[in-house]
Amino acid sequence: MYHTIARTYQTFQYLLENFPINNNPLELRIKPLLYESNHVLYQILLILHQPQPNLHQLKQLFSILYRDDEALEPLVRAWGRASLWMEVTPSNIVQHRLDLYQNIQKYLKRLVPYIKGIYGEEDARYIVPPLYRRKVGADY
Amino acid sequence: MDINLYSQGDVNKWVYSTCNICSIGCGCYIGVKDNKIVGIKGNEDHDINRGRLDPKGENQWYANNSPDRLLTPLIRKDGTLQPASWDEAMNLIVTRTKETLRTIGSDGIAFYSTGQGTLETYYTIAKVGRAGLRSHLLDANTRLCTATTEWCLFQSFGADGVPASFEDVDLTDTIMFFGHNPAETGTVFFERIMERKRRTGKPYIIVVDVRKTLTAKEADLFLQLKPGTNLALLNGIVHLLLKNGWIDKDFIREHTVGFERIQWATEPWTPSLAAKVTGIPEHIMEMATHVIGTTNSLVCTTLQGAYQSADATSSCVAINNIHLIRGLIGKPGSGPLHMAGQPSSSGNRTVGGVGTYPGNRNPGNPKHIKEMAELWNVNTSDLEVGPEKGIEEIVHLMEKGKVGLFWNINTNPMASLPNRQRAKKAFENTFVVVQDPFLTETTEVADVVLPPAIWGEKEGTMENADRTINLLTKAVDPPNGVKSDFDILLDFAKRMGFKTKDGKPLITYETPEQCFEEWKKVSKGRPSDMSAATYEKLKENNGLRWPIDEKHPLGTPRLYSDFKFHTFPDNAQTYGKDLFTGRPRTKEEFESMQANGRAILYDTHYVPSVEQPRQEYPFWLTTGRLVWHWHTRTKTGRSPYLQMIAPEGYVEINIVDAESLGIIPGELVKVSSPRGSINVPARVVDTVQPGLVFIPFHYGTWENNQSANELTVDFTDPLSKQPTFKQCSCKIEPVRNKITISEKQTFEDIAETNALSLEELAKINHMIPPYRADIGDQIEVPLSRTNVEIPPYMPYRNIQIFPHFSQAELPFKKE
Repeated sequence: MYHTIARTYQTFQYLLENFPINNNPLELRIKPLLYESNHVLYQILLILHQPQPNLHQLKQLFSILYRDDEALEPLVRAWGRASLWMEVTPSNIVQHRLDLYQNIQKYLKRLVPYIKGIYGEEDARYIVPPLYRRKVGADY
Repeated sequence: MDINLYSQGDVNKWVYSTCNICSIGCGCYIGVKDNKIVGIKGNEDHDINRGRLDPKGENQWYANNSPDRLLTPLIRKDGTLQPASWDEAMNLIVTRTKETLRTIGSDGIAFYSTGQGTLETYYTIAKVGRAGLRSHLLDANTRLCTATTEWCLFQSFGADGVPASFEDVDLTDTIMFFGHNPAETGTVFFERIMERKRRTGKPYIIVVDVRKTLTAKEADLFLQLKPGTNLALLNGIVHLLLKNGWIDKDFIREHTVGFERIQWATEPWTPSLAAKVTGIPEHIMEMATHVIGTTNSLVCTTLQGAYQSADATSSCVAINNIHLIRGLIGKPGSGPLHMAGQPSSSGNRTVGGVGTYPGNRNPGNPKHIKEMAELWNVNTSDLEVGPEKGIEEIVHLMEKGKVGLFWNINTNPMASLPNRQRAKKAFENTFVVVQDPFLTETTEVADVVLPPAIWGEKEGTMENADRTINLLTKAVDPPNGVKSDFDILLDFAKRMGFKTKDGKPLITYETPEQCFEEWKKVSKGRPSDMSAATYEKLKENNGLRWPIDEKHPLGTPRLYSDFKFHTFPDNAQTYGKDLFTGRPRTKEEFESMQANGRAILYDTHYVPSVEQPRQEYPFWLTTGRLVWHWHTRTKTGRSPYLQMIAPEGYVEINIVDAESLGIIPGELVKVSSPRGSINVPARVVDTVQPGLVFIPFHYGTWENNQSANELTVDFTDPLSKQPTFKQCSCKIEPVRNKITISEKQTFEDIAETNALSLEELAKINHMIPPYRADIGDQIEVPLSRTNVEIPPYMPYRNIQIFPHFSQAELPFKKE
């Protein structure tokens, strides 16, 4: 879990170091989400370093992390389309950023079993939005 | 009275109903002869329309009798849709559903319904989709229409439900139509206002729009702003309200939280900055603010000019802010009236077919999920948690192969979705069920087509734009082989074997009225409580506005008259989202706002449109509706009268731009954007500003290349996820033939042969007098030219005919 969070944190660091890419207005909305996610991940890492992590605080931080990503996901995809249509950034650079963002999503999905392990299946539903914890469903 | 009725002879009976076209909710009677609908008339006793009907409403019944109605299900075999029995079609859907549940899971099934159905159908979609299939991918074309209404109400007041009603419109001193053109999109509503205006001089009318619409022509004050600058204007107005002290300090202190946020956010928005961004002169903005700041009562309406624009939810929240800081809400003649486009789009939200759980229940609140589980007698864990996904997000999931079954009910997304070529590829990648009375652009990508009953052939209730619940009764039986949407869903539930946790059938009601009785129990105690309503009572009273409960047995004309808002954490319909980024708030974050029954004021921050004109695509493109057609013309295109008046698409371009491009009225032009291109005739007008073009979105099959949505962007508002149809970039080029002048031809000959005047031919070729062309010169002529005049509808209109075109401005005209 710590390793996955650290990798996610590193990816956000990289995205922030190379941001903004172009002056598309979507970047105005994306930027605070990247900063908040970065900050939240840092706090999660600090808590995980503690011998007895504050699980309530951790729950709040995970909740924010996933909500940030729910908001980021359509914005980042829209930014990709907009950048190509406006032809303001070479397509390889746009694709690189989109690939990095895809990695973040993979990490967030990898974290879900750990979160379920800590908080239980029912509580985890209120921390992690549905599409990250998609499971093969109803038994008809 | 329907103008067509006289040709049908005497009717056998008039059946009580409600118009199924726009969001006004007009009462009507359906004329029936020999079990066939032959006409319609307005209900004179209905408070909403007092006998009036809109031209689309008057002609909606033609679709019922159209010879091309589908009368049997269709299944795609060997690449073509072929007739099938209901058993074959439904069993195939069930097989595919079970396979998707096994392989992808519950969120591999998506419903995409409509704003034109009944509450009973929507409620059944909610129950089947959420408790039966356990999916949370329930969306509707209301996402394109009024999702922003819902989200701005959540944000400011904690729950859905427009605060004001049409009764307030009759009482108000001032009305502001913000991105709302009721003269074309809600004619009965507009006539009601104009009738009072002519009689009493009230209300003072302010119109905000990028186009000089028919509504704007009747305004006392018209603010024609640049595309995508709604929020800049509203921030400028709030700045002036605060500067002049035109605020209700007591109301702000007692009934709101967050005032300090407004102050700092609007401080930079001086009239000069707002004027620079919006293009509206400072003195006009100051006049508007003076009216808004000093009026005793105010109703602000919004529609697609606000909802389908940049900063959509923020702009509507800014309008809520204005009402709150002026204390003009919950009082007679005052309140925001965020409109709907469709006859029952708000109804879909109310009963949970789209958006949150039924009865304004919060999908992020464990208590509300538990309540729903108890009401439906299912396990709490069966009901999915979290905010809904919009259609753009569902299209993305379809692209990725993560949706195994997409069930499309009474809507035509292959004509109505933005950037439709992208959507088409996604639909082709998915098993698609389409429920539609006709073959449409969307049935072209369907695997199964189910033919449903139309208005007049089914019963149920609808919710209009001001919370009025109206009754529709069944006038005739549907054609043989056709079933109602409601019955199709019940059949599906039965075949799927959906059960409660006790092993009993999940759905036990069999008729719409029984369903309504169940919904009443679900709604009890919630903001949209309808526990004191019955079908009979709705009919007797010609509709009632919710809440309709013990305390308000005859409904509620306006919400929040006690100034108590739904912002206690355990009452709120959602915990809201960050207004700038769209990030959903946690419960703790919502609690920390400490609204607790008070309305919430927000800082609103202007963000320019994502795509803007530039060298390659120098024009703004905006899309919208005509008075003569509804949506993608599935119904209105089948009325000979409406179709004859407005038969094809076009692009409106300003006189100045037409001059510089040498475009003459009616000539075919190619409009291109980074997504695609279409060919339509040009209307040269003064109603769009220079640099902006307008295309109605009603037109365009796959074959005739006129669909505005070949061009539009699929960016969405961060909160409501409503697409930004109103702003993208484009370019325009005339589509012409080139003729080389031969020794037997003259310039005059070419003009005559192509039905052009000499001046027009000269204009096209950028020539100045004398118009000399020599042998071997190439002359351009339009590939085609069409009469693009559209007649006026309402008698009080001052204008006579479109297009406006000023010949006198041609530089080579001789005196």
